[in-house]
Amino acid sequence: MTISDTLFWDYLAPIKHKLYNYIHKSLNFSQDADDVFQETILRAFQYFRSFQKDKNFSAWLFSIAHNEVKRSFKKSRRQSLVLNSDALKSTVANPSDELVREVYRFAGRLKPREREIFFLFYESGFSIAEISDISGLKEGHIKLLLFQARNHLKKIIGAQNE
Amino acid sequence: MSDEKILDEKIGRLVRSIDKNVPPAVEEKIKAAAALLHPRPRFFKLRRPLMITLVPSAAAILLAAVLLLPLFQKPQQPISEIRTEFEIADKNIKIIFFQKPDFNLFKED
Repeated sequence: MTISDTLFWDYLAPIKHKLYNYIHKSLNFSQDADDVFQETILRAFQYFRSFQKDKNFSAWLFSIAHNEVKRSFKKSRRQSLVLNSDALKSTVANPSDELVREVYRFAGRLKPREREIFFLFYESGFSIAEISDISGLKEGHIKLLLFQARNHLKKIIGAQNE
Repeated sequence: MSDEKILDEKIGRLVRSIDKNVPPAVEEKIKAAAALLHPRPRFFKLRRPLMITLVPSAAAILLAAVLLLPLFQKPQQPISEIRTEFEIADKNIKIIFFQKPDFNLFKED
């Protein structure tokens, strides 16, 4: 193993968990998510030498993941992929938490690209500028998507809190 | 804190309340696959700058060769004779005319 290889695994260690969740959630907990996760890491590993070390590794890795998620949708034509509710059931800590289910139901109905933006923001915690770098979308477009999501979820959360 | 940020935090908490850990088997599989996979050699990293230098150079050399080629070619030799042949097969006759630069066939003396 070269120094570059070791460095790659060191860089990856703190963010692999975040990456894994982003891919699973963007793919609606599809069974292909593990393969997409593997493809993302292997591709990143392969191209790590071209990564400029002064840049943000996390954003670089997520942009590869974004492309792999897109490729997965194209390959399987799963634009209308439905939420894998069994997978959701097994991962929800408290099955009675209807609010969490509602949020995921909402995300599951989004278009793939919108869902990716939604999870990059709320799951992975990227800023709008970083999401723009990762996805190639304009910041205005991302703000609009988040505004719509926020408005929709505000009603759900508000209704549940009442 | 603005309402928007409070709502964002609330949504973020709900989203992150579902948390999946990377299964050790998946991690092992990736490491095994990565061990077999060789990172792209340095040539691929250098391919782009190399191509940027080499392709225009090759084009310039080719253009120069095409333009300079006529200068190195031998000048065309003048026509030394024109030969015209007639053959009458059944009479076994063959007539050959030679036209030379110093003998004009159609010129009357």
